[in-house]
Amino acid sequence: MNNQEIILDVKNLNTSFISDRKQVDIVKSVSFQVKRGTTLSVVGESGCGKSVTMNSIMRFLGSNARVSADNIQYNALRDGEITEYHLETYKKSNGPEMRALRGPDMSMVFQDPMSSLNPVYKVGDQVAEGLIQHTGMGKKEAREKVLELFRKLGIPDPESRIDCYPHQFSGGMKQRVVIAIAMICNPELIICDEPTTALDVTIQAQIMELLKDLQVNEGKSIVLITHNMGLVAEMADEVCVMYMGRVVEFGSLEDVFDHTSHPYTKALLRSVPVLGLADGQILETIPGITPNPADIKGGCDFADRCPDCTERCRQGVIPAFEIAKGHRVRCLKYDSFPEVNG
Amino acid sequence: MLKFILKKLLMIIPMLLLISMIVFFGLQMTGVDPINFMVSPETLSANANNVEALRESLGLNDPLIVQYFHWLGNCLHGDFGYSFDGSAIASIIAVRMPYTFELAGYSLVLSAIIGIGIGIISAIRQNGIIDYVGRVLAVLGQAIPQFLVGIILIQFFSIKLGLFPSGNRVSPEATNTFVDAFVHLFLPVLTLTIGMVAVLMRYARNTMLDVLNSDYIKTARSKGIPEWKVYLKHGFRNAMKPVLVILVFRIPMLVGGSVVIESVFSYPGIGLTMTNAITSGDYPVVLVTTLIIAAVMLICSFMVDVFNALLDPRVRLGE
Repeated sequence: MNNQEIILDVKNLNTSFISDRKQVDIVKSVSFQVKRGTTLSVVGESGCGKSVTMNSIMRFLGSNARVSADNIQYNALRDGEITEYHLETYKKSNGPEMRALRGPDMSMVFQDPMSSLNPVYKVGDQVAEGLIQHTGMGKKEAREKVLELFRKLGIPDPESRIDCYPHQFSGGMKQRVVIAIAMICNPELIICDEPTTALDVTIQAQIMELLKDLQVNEGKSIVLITHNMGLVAEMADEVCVMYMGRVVEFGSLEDVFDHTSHPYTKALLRSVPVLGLADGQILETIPGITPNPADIKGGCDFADRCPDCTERCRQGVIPAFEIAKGHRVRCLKYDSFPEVNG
Repeated sequence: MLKFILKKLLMIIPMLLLISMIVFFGLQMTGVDPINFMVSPETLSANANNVEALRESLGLNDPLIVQYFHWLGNCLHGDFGYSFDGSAIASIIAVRMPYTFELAGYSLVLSAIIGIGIGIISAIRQNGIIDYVGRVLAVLGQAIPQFLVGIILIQFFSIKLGLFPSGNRVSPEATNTFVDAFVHLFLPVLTLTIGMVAVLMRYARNTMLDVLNSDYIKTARSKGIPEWKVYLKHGFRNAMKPVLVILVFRIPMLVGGSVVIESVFSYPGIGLTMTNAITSGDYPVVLVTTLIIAAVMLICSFMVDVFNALLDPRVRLGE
């Protein structure tokens, strides 16, 4: 695949945090690609490093985080020309290189709309801020653009709502404003970090619809972080399953859902609650608890909870195997297939 | 917004009346007889009838409630009565009030600039050199009592180095009043500032750290705006609210509570006037100074309400 097709290419990303002078590895040799104009879903249980991975790429982590990677390459497509940006080479998290990309090229929709908006500024001004920063547009012109976007995002009565403060908005409307902030500079890549987790179910559907529309109509590339499997099935083109800071399975939606290979993915899919569970039928759970990232052992992180665990699983680093084109699984059950990086 | 301000402003009047009542009746209960301060004991026993006539003419035999309204009426006309030593309280206040406000004003402005400035920088460069040094100094500044700081400063700057006078507000022989005021104010202002910088620095640092960890700071960064905008526009404005409350509520403490500092530097402000009045039982003066301090307190609390409303739309629009 070439740069035209791939918008984001991450190779061997490692993120650790220094806490109490100890280094705790949270994200370990993560590699994945996002194809232009598609949705990649990153799934996994809480604390598996989904958000940290994306925040590492966007460089939103605090000063106690250490990020290293062989390659974090963003390929911008402007007027048919590809420009490569190597994010791993930028020294400063909030330096001019990163700032120039945030907004017009890549942006992020955050999890909790209640706290993601600054309580003391009008929503319209908060949305316009990025636009004015990157285009040098005047306030009046920016306001028109914001109104236009509000209309597109289905915010009712935008002319009066634009001058409201966040506390005057409901949760769903606030999330639309957060999406507007992410969209205003027309970025190519939008990272959505559990965009609907804080919202109630009917609003969730509306917000997802909105994102899907944006992608279909405007060809945006979306990275969707979620632990909602239903959402994955509906939205994703490709799925990246993470466990304990590693990608355990990566493939197309079909690969992962219909040819589920990693024992963790299988367990994860089995533990999705379905409507109309028969009487007496118990919802399956994954036995055991997620290990603490601070006390790491060798071998597969899932070994203790895995039904297929063997002696070999507890030693060394488990590599990933490509069991079908573009379908990678990090499990020794598939060691007859070729080993790949990722 | 205007309605909000007017409402808060009108609230001050009944509060002040209530406070004046409590203080007035409370002081009456102390059993101090003003006649004793006016007439010497020998005259008192010799001319019992005349004294009774004086009592009657001064209105001291009227019921308390009548006396209160009489006093209140006079106050509203700008007549605050007389101190037991015979001078008009209004003129005492007119001289000493500005002194106290000078002292309070300079230390307030100085400590706000220094304290909030260092606090914000400490938060932005957390665990940096400024942060470490600032934290140590803040603990020192808060742990050492102010009067001790004052005494140490006097010992060093006035007695050892002879740079600044150890007390008073003006020198009788002063020709250049600006320089004279500066040298007299320097040490007491420095003493008050050290204490307040310590408090404000810690407070500003902690609230700013809180704010910088909030989600909307990440949102601000996601827009690609420069860091100074993230800190000043999105961080500072939100961190300012609690810091302003602390800062404004320092004003009544400075006006009424800098008694110790005014004594250490024998600085003739309201605080010193009040302590002297209390120890000598000069209750008309105690009454008025207490009311002034209460009024300052109420005005400051009004200011806090207004600042909060200006800074936070949730307060402004919730009213």
